Amino acid sequence: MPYEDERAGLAAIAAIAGGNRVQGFRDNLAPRSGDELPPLPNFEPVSTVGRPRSFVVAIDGSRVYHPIPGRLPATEAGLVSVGLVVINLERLATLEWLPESRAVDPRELRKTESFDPPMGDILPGRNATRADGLSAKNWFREKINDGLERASLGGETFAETLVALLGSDHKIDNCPNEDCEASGLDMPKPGETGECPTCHETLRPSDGLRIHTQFVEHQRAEEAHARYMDALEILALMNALRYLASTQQGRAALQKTAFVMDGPLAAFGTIAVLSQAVRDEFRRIQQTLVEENPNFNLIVMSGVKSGPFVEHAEELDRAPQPDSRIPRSHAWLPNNKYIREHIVPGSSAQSKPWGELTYFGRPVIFKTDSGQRLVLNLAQPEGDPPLTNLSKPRALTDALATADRLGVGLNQFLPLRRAHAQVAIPFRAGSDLIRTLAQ
Amino acid sequence: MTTGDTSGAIDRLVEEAGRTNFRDSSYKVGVVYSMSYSNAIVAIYDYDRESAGGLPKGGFLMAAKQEGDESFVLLRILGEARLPAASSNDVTREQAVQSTANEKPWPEALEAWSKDRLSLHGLECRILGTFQVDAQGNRRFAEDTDNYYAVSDLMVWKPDASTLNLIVNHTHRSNPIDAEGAEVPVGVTRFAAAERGATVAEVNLKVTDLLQRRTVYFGMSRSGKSNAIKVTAEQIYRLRTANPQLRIGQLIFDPNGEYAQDNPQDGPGLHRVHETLGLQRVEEVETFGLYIPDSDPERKLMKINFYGNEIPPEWEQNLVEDALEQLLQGQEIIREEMAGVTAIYTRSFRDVDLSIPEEVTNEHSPRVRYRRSLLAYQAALHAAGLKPPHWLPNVSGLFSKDFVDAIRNSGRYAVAAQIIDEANKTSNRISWSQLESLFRNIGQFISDGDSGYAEFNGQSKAKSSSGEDWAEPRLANLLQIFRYSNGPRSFQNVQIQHSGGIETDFATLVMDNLEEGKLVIVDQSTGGPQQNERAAERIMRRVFETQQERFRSAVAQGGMDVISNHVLVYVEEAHNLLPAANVRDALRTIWARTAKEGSKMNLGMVLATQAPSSIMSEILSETDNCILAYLNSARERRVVGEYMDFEDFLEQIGQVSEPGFVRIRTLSRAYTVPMQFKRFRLDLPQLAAS
Repeated sequence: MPYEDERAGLAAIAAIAGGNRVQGFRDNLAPRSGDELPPLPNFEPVSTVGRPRSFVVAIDGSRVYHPIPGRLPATEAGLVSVGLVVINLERLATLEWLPESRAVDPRELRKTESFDPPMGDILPGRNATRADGLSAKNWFREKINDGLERASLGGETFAETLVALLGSDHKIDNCPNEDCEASGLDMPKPGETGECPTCHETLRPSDGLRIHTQFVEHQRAEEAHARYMDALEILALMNALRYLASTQQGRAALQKTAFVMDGPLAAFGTIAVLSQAVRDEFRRIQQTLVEENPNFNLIVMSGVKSGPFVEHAEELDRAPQPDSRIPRSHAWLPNNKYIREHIVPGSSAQSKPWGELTYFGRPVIFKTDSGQRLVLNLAQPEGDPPLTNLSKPRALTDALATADRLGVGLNQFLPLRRAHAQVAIPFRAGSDLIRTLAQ
Repeated sequence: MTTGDTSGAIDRLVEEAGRTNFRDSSYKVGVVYSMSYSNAIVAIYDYDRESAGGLPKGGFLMAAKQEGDESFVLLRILGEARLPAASSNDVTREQAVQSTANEKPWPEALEAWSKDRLSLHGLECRILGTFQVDAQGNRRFAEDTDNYYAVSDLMVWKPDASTLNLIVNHTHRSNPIDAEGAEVPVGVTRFAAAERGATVAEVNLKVTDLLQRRTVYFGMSRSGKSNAIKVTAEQIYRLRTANPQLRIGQLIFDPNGEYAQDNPQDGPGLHRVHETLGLQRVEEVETFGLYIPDSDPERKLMKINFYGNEIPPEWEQNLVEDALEQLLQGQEIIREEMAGVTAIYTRSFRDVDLSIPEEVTNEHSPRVRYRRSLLAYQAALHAAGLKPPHWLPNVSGLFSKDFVDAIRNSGRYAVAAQIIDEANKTSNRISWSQLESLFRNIGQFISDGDSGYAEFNGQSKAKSSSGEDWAEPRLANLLQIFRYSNGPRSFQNVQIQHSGGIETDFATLVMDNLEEGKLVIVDQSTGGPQQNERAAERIMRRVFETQQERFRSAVAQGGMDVISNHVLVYVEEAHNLLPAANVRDALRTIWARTAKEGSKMNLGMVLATQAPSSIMSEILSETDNCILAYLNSARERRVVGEYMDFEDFLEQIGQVSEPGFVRIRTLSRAYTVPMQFKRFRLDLPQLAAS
């Protein structure tokens, strides 16, 4: 890494570019599958019978991780928050504009959204031991559990949601005490703590997510913070869904609402245990509502902004002009075979189906009527994994009808923009806040 | 209930409850995004911009807390300010354009939130100052701001008509000349030429701001300078209705004759302003010019009698001075006319001093010699073609018998003796032609070495107590003009400024009229530039000297009265009359002196020109009132940009050429207001009736 005011010279690049190194590398590089454009998959026109939802609930998390100045050994902390914004699409569509500038009243526009203050906390990072001597890792465990116990979107707490998802008989694989070899420990009930029978280490419901295993003492804890944020996003979604599904009025609202997440509909790493639980809960809620309304489709989708699917969609859409090849109002759901062959190749022919264990949604590449190319993940409650081998989701038509109204700017997804606007922690301000810990 | 002058409960109710807060009536358009001591950036949405009826450059805004008293920071819109998101907004804008391929307006490619984001923009504003309200509800304007916060919670309003009226007509500085009705509407606010249905307020001019002060009207031809001057002059004239003691003498140099005459543009001209008050012209208005048009038979001729008046038989110093006043002024004009001559004989004539010598008062011989010189000079005027006055020259006692005999004996010049003999037999008066012939011959007699003059002169010197030649230097030099036949032609151009029938110098008449509080219009639409320039200068000098004398007298008696004896001089096309800037000794000219010293002697000056650079910076720096119209020259705009707050308007001044669209700042105001001057139109009773 250079210093801030440092500029690299040309000697290194000259040494590599000289001789035959570059040409040799090119000669050894596997040939492209062909110079021609990849064939355009079977994008299908979007059905016009879809019923767009009137409301969108967009959920997004945000975090900042930064050193605390003036502490040795190097000490770090992080901010993590998650929040949601409810967008009233009907109201948005009926805003009146002025005749000359065609501007809408900014106050009225903001009334199309509602949101509560994001839930968030400051978490210990590397070497951030507590004053009473509690290690940074255990302090982290304690704080994330406290966060889950406090957080709620109206009904149960996030901790209760977690336990409901994982099941009351869920076992904590290993004792959080690294020096203890006990395993298969009972996960405490929400609001309670337990104890390792071997080492008497306190156990908490959040230990069921095993996020603490990514917190290695004296090393950067940013990955653990990120995983916690991912868990918060998923728990926020499920907390909201369960709360709505628990009342008749809530279920009526569910029928008019689509849920939108940021990034893949998936749970990776230690929290991957949530994926199957989320799929199961989707199915339970879907079935509950179908009993009241046979036509009900739970819509949970996400906008993917980067990664191999986004790059692949961009490549498909590149010629003859950028962003022009995929026809508007068309969508395509890549199946497992295509994904493994062209997007995320497996390590071997026996590779598991893509996303089988981690995803609770399947990719959909969609170009809106107004030309935005969106890479979505869409939940399919009625199906079992691998979802990419299933036929079209029941909710696809309604989901695309909803998403069609939400494409904005250059391939952007409005709910993500709005959620980010309301939830995101400004990096500078967040860093400054952590810096104040030095005082 | 009220008793006497005690304010009652209802009055107090009106005072307290009836007071409207600008927040209730004005339109809230945005917030202060950032602020410094001198500038602020205001963040505004398009929606509020349109709802407020638009926000033109130069418009006023008010920044204040969401709730509070009537205090606010006054802002002027200078232009666009790019907010930090502007660059990313540009990208979005370009993407929207690309997505529509110019088939439809690009905003149609954006949904509400994107448009919302793009519609938020910044306006850079100048902080003009702070309107403050004290506990009694009195307003005060401070020309700065004492504090600001980096995290500003100030909201921003666009003033409604009532608040705009407060802003544009707030009296910031008191004027010692207290006059009823001095605040008069002269137009309405106007911030952009293209504005339609905008909120406007009448703009008042406190006309007493012009008294004692320097005022400039800058603008190209047809930009409305004359109209503004007419409106101003009319309103100053009308002060006398409510303030009988405030009869302002106004002097207008009218280069195009549009003030002194009715014209298609204005209808009745300013010279008929007295009719609006039902007064008689003889006591209110006087016009001067080089000719008397049929439409204005009462006009006074702006010429002088180069011959002067006849010297009274009994030598009384003051009477003689009066009689010779025009002659001496005429000589000054001739001297300037002959400034470029090089021949010795014409230079000798030009440089003669004809002022009245001290010794002529009591001594006979000097008086005779002086009178001879005057006649010789008048003979030269006749030779130059200047029409003589009605009286005839008197040669009584000017030529001795010895001289008459000597010139008779010369033979060649004997005609001179015949003229003198003939005069002696009658009334001693001769015709002007005879006078010319007399001095032609005398001149040649003196210069001719064989004429016998030398012998006569020797005898004459021997008899003289002074020992001087008979033709003392003054006479000898005057007679040089006859040495060549074309000598008098060297100043014949002054004929147009001469009228033999005039008994009083027009400059004196002008000043007399100004002292009576009249509106005096000097029509300079005829005559050469040089002639007009000289006439104007003569008048100006007389006005200055008179006011200066008044000032001296007043000082001796305890100080100048601020109410009476005001004179206001209007100079149209000032660049034609005033000395150019940077010219040597320019500050010594009567114009510069009037501009710089006039204030203390109740002498105000209004200059109108299309060339601000032609006005000396020393004058501009002393200017209190300024009205700026269209100037197409960047160089001229730069000149005005160096004064007051005009820098904020330079772009508009160079862009919008509509007549009457001006920027005005006067003594009692703290900042410049863009406005549309109303058309000059006299409200005459008979016109109203018809």
